[in-house]
Amino acid sequence: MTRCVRWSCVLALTGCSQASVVSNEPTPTSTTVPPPPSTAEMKPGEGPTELEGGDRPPLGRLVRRLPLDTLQAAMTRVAGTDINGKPLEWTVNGVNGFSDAAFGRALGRPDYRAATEESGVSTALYMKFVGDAARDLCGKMARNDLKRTDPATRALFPKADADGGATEEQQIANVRYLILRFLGLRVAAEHPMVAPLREVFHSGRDTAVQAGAELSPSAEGWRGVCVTLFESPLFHND
Amino acid sequence: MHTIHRRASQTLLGVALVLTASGTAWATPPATSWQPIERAVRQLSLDLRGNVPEMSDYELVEGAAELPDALIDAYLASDDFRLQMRRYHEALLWTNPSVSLASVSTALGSVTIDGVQILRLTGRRSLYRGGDGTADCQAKPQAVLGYEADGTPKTESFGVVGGNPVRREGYVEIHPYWEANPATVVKVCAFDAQTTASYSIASGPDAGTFSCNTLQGVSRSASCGCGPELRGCTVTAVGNAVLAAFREQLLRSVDDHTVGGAPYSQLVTTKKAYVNGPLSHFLSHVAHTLPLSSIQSGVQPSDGAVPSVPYAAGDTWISYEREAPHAGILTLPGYLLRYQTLRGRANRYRIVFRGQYFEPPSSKDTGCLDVGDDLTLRCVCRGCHTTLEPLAAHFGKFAEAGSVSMADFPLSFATRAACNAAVAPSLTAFCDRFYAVVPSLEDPDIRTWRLKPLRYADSAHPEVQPNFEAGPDGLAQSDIKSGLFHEVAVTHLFEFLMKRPPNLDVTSPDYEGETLATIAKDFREQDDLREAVRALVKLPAYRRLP
Amino acid sequence: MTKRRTLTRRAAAGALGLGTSALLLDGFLGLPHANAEADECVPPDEAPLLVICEFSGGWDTLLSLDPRNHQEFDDPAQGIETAYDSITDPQTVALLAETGGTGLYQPPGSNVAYGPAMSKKLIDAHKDDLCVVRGVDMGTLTHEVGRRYFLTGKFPRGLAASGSSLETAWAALSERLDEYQIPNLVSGGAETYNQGFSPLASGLSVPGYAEMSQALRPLNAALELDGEVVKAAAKFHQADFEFHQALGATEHLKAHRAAWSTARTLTAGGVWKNFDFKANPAAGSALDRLYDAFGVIKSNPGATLSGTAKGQAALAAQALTSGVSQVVLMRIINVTDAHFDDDWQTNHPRRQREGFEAVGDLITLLKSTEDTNGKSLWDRTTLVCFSDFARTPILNAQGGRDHHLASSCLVAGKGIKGNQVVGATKDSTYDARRINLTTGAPDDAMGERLRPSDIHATLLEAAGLCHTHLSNQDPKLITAMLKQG
Repeated sequence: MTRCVRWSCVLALTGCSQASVVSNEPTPTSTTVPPPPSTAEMKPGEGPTELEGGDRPPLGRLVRRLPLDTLQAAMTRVAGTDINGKPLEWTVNGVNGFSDAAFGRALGRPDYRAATEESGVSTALYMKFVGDAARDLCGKMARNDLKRTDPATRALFPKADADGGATEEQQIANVRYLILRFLGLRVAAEHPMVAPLREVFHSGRDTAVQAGAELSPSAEGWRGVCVTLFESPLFHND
Repeated sequence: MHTIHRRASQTLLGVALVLTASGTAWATPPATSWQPIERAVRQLSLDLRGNVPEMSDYELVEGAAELPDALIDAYLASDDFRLQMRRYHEALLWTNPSVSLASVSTALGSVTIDGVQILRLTGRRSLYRGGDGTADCQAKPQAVLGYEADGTPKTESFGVVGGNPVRREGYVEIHPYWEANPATVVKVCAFDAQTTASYSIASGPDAGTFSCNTLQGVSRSASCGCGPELRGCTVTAVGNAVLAAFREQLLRSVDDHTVGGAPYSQLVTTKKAYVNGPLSHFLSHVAHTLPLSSIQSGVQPSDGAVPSVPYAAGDTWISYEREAPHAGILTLPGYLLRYQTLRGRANRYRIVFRGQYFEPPSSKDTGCLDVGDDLTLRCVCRGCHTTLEPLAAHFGKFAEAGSVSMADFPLSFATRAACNAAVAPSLTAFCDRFYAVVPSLEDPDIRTWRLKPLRYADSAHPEVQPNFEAGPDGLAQSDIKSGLFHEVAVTHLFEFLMKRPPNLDVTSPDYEGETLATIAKDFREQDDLREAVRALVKLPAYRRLP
Repeated sequence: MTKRRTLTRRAAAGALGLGTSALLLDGFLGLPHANAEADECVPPDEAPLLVICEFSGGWDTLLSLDPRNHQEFDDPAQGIETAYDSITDPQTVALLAETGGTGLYQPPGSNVAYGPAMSKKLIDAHKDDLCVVRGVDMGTLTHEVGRRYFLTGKFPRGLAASGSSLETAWAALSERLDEYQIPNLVSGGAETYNQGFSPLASGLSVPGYAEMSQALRPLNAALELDGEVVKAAAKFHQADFEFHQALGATEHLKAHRAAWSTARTLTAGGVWKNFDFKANPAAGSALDRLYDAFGVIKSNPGATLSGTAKGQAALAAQALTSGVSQVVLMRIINVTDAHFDDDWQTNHPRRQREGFEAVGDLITLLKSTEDTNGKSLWDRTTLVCFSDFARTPILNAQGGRDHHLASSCLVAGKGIKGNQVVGATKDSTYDARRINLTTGAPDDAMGERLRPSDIHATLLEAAGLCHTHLSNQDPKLITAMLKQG
């Protein structure tokens, strides 16, 4: 399990140990020595003005990866229902993939006997199964949506038809809708998140196998967007 | 430490969020970074309900500056919150015991005899059929062999094995209690299927007539079997159902005290408990027949009147009232069997309800004993055990490796013989199981047998006896009265919601102790977990980005 | 200062047939391999391998690694009660008889006496490699705390582990993370921790070999996304949105991206085939050799391997010999928390022996597996076996044993001097004794107490790896454990 590594930030910066924190700061290119800090009296929470410290923001809430039960519930809710109203679930050989009968134990669901904690960060095995679940659920979402004639009842592409006739505005609207549905973020059309997701859509649509396919090219495109959002770090870490 | 962390986060974040949406935008970046409102709703829903919001919830908050009270109310009132609180408490308590409830004298095993699958008890074969204790019944219906005048199955002789004659009966077909369909039958060796209610001992100090449904009955009398519908015996599925019931029983109590309207502090003091079919059956017919070397969970007077619920009613839970010294979940089997030693129970209690962990001292321990049984005096050991031993004494009325209440057991016996005769007919292992000899320091001939938790109750350990008497209820009441119970509960809730411990450094400008103390004070007055959660999610820190 | 892997090496890894998606590895995502250590620590030329075997539940070392003569130490009044004659496990009973009632198994040529629940097979085959370390001060009697303390070398905070587990540090410090598909494999429910090392060094946890092959196999190839879609998705995941920054502040973003990348590589590379322990493998194949080493019933491998210590050890063996993993941490067996006589007399000794026997089979296989340099794979392998803590030297009122602070561990392999005991416990109380770190002999006046961090530092040193991540523990090298020259 990878622990919340705020402690590593603490240790690295205090010099207590040499455990690393990978810094995202750019490598300094200047050798200028900064001026010494002001000796004027400062209030707690304030940094010296010469260094433009300003007020420090107070403590907030940290982040943790979703527990498995929550992941299961969240993916099911986002996936919606089939055309008969039954919730869509990730199934493997007819069994819910998240259940202990399938991969629940491998994913680390605690039983409070041998396993008492879940990992707080994403692991490779976790993401492998998330990918399996996403591809299965997104396919089901797409297939069911194709059977829904009323767009408002669709879960995956309510804002854009999957018959190839959707306009650019409709595609953007659908992307924005999916970002809200999957990630809980309301973004504008010009937000930087929209363009890369449209690229995912286009890639899926343009490379879709035509003959005999169960999904239309556009539906395949939305399936790709769906999988991408299910695999997003913002879906899993809150 | 948190100061340094925030410097790092300031460096890495750099900028506050700037959102643009259809009408919602930050005009200027705020000094503190806040979760966008929809993301805050998602966070709230995940924390309180273990699931993402419905799309309608996002629509509800569009353009809002704060989380609406109505939304918080709705989430707290949802059944998902109840389930989330179950998970939360399980993560604290780890109460999912894995114990064996089977014994060779009560667990029916399947054997194939001449191609016929038959159930029988391996532990009673010597009693029933003689020989070397390995003989099973024959694969022929008992009706063919018939019955003696007293109803005992007739047998056929199969020679002598191990110096003892072997006699074997046939099988009968019985509907077992664990099958919901009354038409379902199983084949059982006829001796094992006997329904005799009592047996007699003709002479000696134990002369008398006794119930078959006892430990002595199942281990001593060939005329005692599993009883009507095999009710005194189990199969693997029954054991699993009972273990699952232990877990659910505790979680039902959690439900009562999180969303069910009962004061939260009564989680550790209430006398109320629930049973379903499997649990009722186990406690009524099986628990007290397990050997003394097994888990001891037999019902005692202080357990109250356990309702009778048919085994098949696995989803039917009936409440009943236990008596002192029971104390909430602390004396349910789910807790007692998960932590089978007094020290284990005390350690878990201390972690969950006092927020404290044992750590041995890092410096050299001097002025102490290097040897000796008394861990409160031994070097290094005493660092923890001076606290642990008195705390463990609170759980002394509940047997280790079991959940049986010893509140009605005599505290001591003058002699071992008197101890063994405490049950009728006498059981030589009874004394060793629950009592320990405590020789007198003055007179070596005086060797009193005291209940095991009291063997160190002396002038050198003055807290043991009073803590034993106070029981887990006394321990819990003391922490509730002092306010510690609610303070620690709020701290745990804070960690659950904020994904970090609170800053309790009084010298830090981000000291959160006062805020928590205020919430804990209100929590103590209202004793309503939902209100404590509400207070925490309404803190600015809850919506602040890391 | 960080050390960065070159793209050339990653491209080479891709060319080794890991599949197209391998190019989407951290090369594409631009993830550096962070080295936690200072520049002066240079890892060895050959990747040192590591196997950690956890015997969970708290082992009774009187039965195995730190025994006493039953004929001299069976009186509770004297502080140690071996009670070997109470054991009912048949093989332990037999070994007790073979030793003439002393319970001390010390074959010719061995400098170490082992207890009656040890595996004779392990000792007979590998006694020259085994170093028994006694009197390790575990500092706790709580299972989770002891386990996590030994795993990381740092005392937990409450119940929460502190620091990285040894196998994570080992993998990260070796700087060969991209040479292995699963550099750090964790199995059997063992716990793994990564604090500050590259996420690529984090353990991949599987319950056992059956889940390993299932977990690594694409569940439904028909549902796979086109490579172009995956590329576009990777760009989305890599983009630096402001929403990602909150996650970045807590390292969750980096861990998630690394996990996503590794997951795609694993399923594309066919790694699962290495762990498909099927029946009747081809004669002379790697699987066939594995089965021979572990005494597996080839027509029904599950009978030997499913849910057993051998199954865990076979998984570890396959991971190392196939080059999939560099380090393996496994919970090889639960020896049972033998507080009560029904466990301690029967299950506990049997399970210790099963665990040690599986360890012996593992060492045998590694010794017989040729490395690329012509030597055996064992030549660069380190092995350590440990437990949460030990058990009391006197039986409790229930005829079992409670928890005890002074434990032992078993180490062997690269740079470790075998066929010796380092450290000791007292004959009166079974408490840890202070020892002379150079000689390994007790020195109650001037010696040092042995701690898990000391053992970690010594093993890392023996393997040629840094241990500065432990510097806040001030670990001491137990030079008595090290091979000279």
